[in-house]
Amino acid sequence: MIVKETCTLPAAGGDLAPPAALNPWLRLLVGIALILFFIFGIGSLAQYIPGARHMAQVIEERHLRATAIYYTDFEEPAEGSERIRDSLDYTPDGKP
Amino acid sequence: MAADTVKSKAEPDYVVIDSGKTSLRDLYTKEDWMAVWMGFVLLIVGLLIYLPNPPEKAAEIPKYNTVMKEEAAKAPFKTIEWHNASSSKRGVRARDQEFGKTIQAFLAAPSDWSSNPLDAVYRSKEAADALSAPFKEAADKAKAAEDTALAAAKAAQSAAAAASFKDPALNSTAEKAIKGWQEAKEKASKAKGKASVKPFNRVPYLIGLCILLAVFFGIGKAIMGNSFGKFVVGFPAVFLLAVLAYMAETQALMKYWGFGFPLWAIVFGLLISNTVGTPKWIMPAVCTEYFIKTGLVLLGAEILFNKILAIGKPGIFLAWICTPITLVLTYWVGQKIIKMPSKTLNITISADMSVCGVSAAIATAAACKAKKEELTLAIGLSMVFTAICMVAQPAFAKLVNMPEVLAGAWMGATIDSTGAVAAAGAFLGQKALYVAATIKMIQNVLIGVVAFCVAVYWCAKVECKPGVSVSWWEIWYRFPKFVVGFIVASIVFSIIDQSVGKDMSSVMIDHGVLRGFTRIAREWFFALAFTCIGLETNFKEFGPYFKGGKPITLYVFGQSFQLAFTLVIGYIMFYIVFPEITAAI
Repeated sequence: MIVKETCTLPAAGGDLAPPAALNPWLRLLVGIALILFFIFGIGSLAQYIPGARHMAQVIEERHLRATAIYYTDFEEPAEGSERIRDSLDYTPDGKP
Repeated sequence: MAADTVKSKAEPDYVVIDSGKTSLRDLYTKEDWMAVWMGFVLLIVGLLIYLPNPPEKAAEIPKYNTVMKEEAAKAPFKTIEWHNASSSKRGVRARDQEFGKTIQAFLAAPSDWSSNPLDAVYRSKEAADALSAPFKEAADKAKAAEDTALAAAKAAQSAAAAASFKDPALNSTAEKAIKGWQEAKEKASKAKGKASVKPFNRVPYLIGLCILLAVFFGIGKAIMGNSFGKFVVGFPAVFLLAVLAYMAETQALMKYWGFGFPLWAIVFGLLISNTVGTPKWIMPAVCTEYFIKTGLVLLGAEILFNKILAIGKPGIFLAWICTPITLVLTYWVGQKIIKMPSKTLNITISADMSVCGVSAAIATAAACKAKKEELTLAIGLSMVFTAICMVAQPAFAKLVNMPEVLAGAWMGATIDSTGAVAAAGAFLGQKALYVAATIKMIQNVLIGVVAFCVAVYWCAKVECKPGVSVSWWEIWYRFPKFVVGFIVASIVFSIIDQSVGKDMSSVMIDHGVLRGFTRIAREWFFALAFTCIGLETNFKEFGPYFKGGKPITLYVFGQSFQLAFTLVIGYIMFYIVFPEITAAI
């Protein structure tokens, strides 16, 4: 017999936060600043990394969704598989 | 629970371990079952919306197939008429009808932006015109280039036809000219898209969607015996963070790195919970399991088993033989050699690395009852390595002059994230892009089997005392019930997909029910789930998992093995065993 374990949500209202060395709101602001720095600062480094710049151009030109997590999340798998299916189902075989 | 599992003092398990008893009440009081019903309701609604309303153009599909068949018999290459018929067929989509567009507009996530976040949810006509203007000239030039390339292709094809397609030199010239026209057409299409930016205002839709989802999930909570009111009060805050996560994904710089909404949802949630703390009034709406399992039931419908035949036998070998071997070997090495601190973390990272990144991690973590920290860690690892591989692998393929089909197949089977696979393929060319995306799609389908096998293995083996045999009833008690919904959805949609035929399945299921409705809903549910994970997680909980850098060691080992193994098998399959398929692609 398996022992029943129930899932209880942790106490909220700040209980999840570690003991405050800094004011919690100040830490939130620092966190937001770090995220913004990551997005606009670190993120822009792509143009200085060999290959990454070209990759960014490819993503932009083709309007690809590089963040998709499943094949239904963007068009290319459907388009690619349909093209390949037509190529395999209707393979040109008119002999020269 | 296994003795070597890292135990958290402060946090509950990510997934509830079911009671040793079961009753009919479980069907409407347990989140596992409720997720199944909620998912089924949406899938049925999707079927009812789309299946009775095929697009008028669907009647033309047999005509397009006849053209391709006749052209294929006439010439030894794909003629202009062949390409036009194939292109027209692909343009038939159930979701492109007015009602489909309305549904998609209602469910749409925030759009792209670069410096002003508000651009993600609102774009005036003036702003849209300003965005379009710089690309109008380029679009006109691309259209002119397409027309020129088409004229050249027509001339070359006519010359080849005049020789009854018996002159190899003329045939080769025509084939090259047609390929050039196809590339010019692709560029013109993309340029046209950039030059026709449309205005939008997503704010009312997002508010409406928030209300709709709050009521939808709130009813489920109420049936399970929780407070509808408290859920509805807390839900908008969770939804707002999910919207922000989407906005972070769609930022112009971030989308190049492949950092998607799952990562940002966790980050924003963590930021709140580890600074000011998650407010009490939000907590009734922090329902990780509820959202993630409902999303997984919807994902089940996207696991269409007919897709595994998309590229013939080489694709099956690559995605369905290499991948499970890598998964099992990586897990075994994790347990026996690396000695991972947690079996659930081990299998989640192994599946995430070997199958398809975030989506595999979600399904596997839920199936083996991994903790939320473990899922978070697996996703973080996957995204970092994806960002590296999506640049490094195509660069390597280009350096060694790898053929496009092999490179596409190799990258499709080894880069974690599905979207990054397409980007890496596009880096090399159109053929590599389509092969890579198709191989990844076949591999995506594997997560249904992986999730089911992991759930059964965990119930029957991992959660048992050594040497003690477990009855089928015990296994059923422990089995995560949402997996039943996940598998049933997959089987039912695979049967429908098969019964309507390949072409109509693409029009009505893939480009109808799924992409036109349930897929978008599923993505929102995952965004909500990851936000909740962040909102109930403490940074300190991650510490024990990083001890000795074992997760990274496991990932590097598995990925290295997969890169070498898949390249060898890919070469054998596409160039030695089935070269005729490679030639046809």
